[in-house]
Amino acid sequence: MKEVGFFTVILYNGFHMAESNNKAKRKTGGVPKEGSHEDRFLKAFDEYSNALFRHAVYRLSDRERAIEIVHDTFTKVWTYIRSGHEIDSYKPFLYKVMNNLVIDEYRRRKEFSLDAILSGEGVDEGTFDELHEGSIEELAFSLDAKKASLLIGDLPLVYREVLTLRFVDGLGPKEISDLIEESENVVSVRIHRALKILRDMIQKSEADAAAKRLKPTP
Amino acid sequence: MKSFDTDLKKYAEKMSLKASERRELRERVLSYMEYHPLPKQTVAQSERTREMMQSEPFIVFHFNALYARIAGGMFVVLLIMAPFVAERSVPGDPLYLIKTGFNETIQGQLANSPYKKIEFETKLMERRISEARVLASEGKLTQDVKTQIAENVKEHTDAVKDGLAELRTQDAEGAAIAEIAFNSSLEVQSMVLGANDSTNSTSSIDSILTVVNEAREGVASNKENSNPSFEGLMARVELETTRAYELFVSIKDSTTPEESIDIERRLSDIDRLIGEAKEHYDTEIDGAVDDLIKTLGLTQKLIAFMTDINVRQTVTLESLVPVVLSDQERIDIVKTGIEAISGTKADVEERLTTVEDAGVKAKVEDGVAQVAMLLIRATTALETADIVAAEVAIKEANAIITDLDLLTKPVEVTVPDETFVPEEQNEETGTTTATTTATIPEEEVE
Repeated sequence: MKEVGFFTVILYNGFHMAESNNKAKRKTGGVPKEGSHEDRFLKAFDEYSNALFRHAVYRLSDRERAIEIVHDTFTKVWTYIRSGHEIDSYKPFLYKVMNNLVIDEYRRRKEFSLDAILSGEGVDEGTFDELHEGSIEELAFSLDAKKASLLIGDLPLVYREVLTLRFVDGLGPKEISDLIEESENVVSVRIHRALKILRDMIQKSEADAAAKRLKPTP
Repeated sequence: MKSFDTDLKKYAEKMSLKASERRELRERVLSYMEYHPLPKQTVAQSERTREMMQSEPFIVFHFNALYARIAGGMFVVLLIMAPFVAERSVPGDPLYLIKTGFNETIQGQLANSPYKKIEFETKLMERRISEARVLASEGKLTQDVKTQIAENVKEHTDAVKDGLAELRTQDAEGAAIAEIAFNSSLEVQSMVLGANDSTNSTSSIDSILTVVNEAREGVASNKENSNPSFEGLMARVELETTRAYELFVSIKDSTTPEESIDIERRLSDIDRLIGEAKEHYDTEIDGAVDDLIKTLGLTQKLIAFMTDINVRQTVTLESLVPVVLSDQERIDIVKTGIEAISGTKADVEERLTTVEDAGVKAKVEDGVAQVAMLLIRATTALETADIVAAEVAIKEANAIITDLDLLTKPVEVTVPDETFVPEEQNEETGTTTATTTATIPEEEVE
């Protein structure tokens, strides 16, 4: 009888492997699991503390509070690790914790109701015109980044959140959608509207400045 | 975007922790870690988990090559190729059983909520109707197949109704929104079938159209029980409009410039209607809800037009989703109407001087007076922003002035040219055929 060959299928079970973590790092910005918990935690601190600080400043418009929020973020994460949990990828986890702390901070300031923070109440929802990547591109292209950077802090909270995550932290719509627990569509719509509001604010500030210049001095 | 993206990032990066701040922060975090060390158990567990995971990096399966090839081939044919090919089958095809018995059963299992089930049954109804249209266009729709498809369509519409009744007990609002979607789908199918029916002398799909229309009537009679909230509707409208925009972007390359303009016009109409509903919400909630229901229906029909190529080929966008004129456009139309009617009125008044018949003259004078009054009414209504009243007045004025225009206009009557008239026809019918024209005096017309 003719001998029939065998073949073997080897399935890589590397999801939890050290090597696969390197892959995950490239993909999600996570840190490798090599080393102790302390090593990995401190490595995450070195890698993300500055970015988190920047994010907090844009969200809160308060440098001192931003430093405190970064500190609280890391201590909360450490407490989570101490309770026996494992963190696969630090970056999204840190951003998630910080986002919750920022919302707590808004609540503490009592400037905004929680509903307004979470649902964007009181924010003009605008219309749905030209909701596609092309229009976001065009809109963004028309904006002055320097002025936009200064005016982000004046945006309504929900828009400040998505613009900071998208343009300051450089996260993609999918990452933002996971982070704020909204669909990618909602994220895209919010970015689009935020850019429109930002454009209007820039135009208004320019018009005000021009009017000021033209005003005759007494 | 890239420039804005990178520029903004560049400005943002200027915002960073000073070295001293960073050092101090790190020390604070480190001291927190020292005061709150990890429990020994966590450290040990972590090590153990890591070792355990690393001990099984691969899972190994051994296969006999020949059997594997055969099994693989069969697997590919049965589970991938056949269902894929079956998707294009119609009743009477050998693979149709796979389509309805396997593909649709699997898809049905994935619909795990009452809302999804309703959507799925609606989709099945659309598929059956689409199959009927394909068969009718190929001349293969026999009476048996037609009866079978009509029964299937009825089965699916009944399933949707049952699903709606079930959903109503759990989530009345969700049911109301699902009902709107179902109704839109029925409207689209009814229009498409109606268009097919009118172009097909044998009325091959009339029984299916009857089933669809019955289902529509059922939904319409239940409308009073549907009471979705403004917020729920708004959320649904947002989702559907986003989907409509995404679809438009994806099909833009395959549409003609005219189609693109038409679709853009409908999208902007929908945006405007949403804005109006929001404004309406502050003054009258029920009216705003009705506006949104209408907008949702229009959006869903527009999506059906963009997604279903059969719909696009069968009905025009204007008949499916008519243009909704803005207030300004309506005002402009009324103004244009006033101008046109005024012009015609002046012509009629001029011609009135040549009318000799006293009866006709009196009638025309009376009509002109009515038109003048209606024009004043339309102008006043426009000034008070009562567009509906202005439109009614202009419509009436237009009807009267058209009659007056005909009445006073010299009539061109055709005179037969006998050389071109077939004799038999003349003999049989006694009619004449026109080749030349001459003006008949008004007295003769009278």
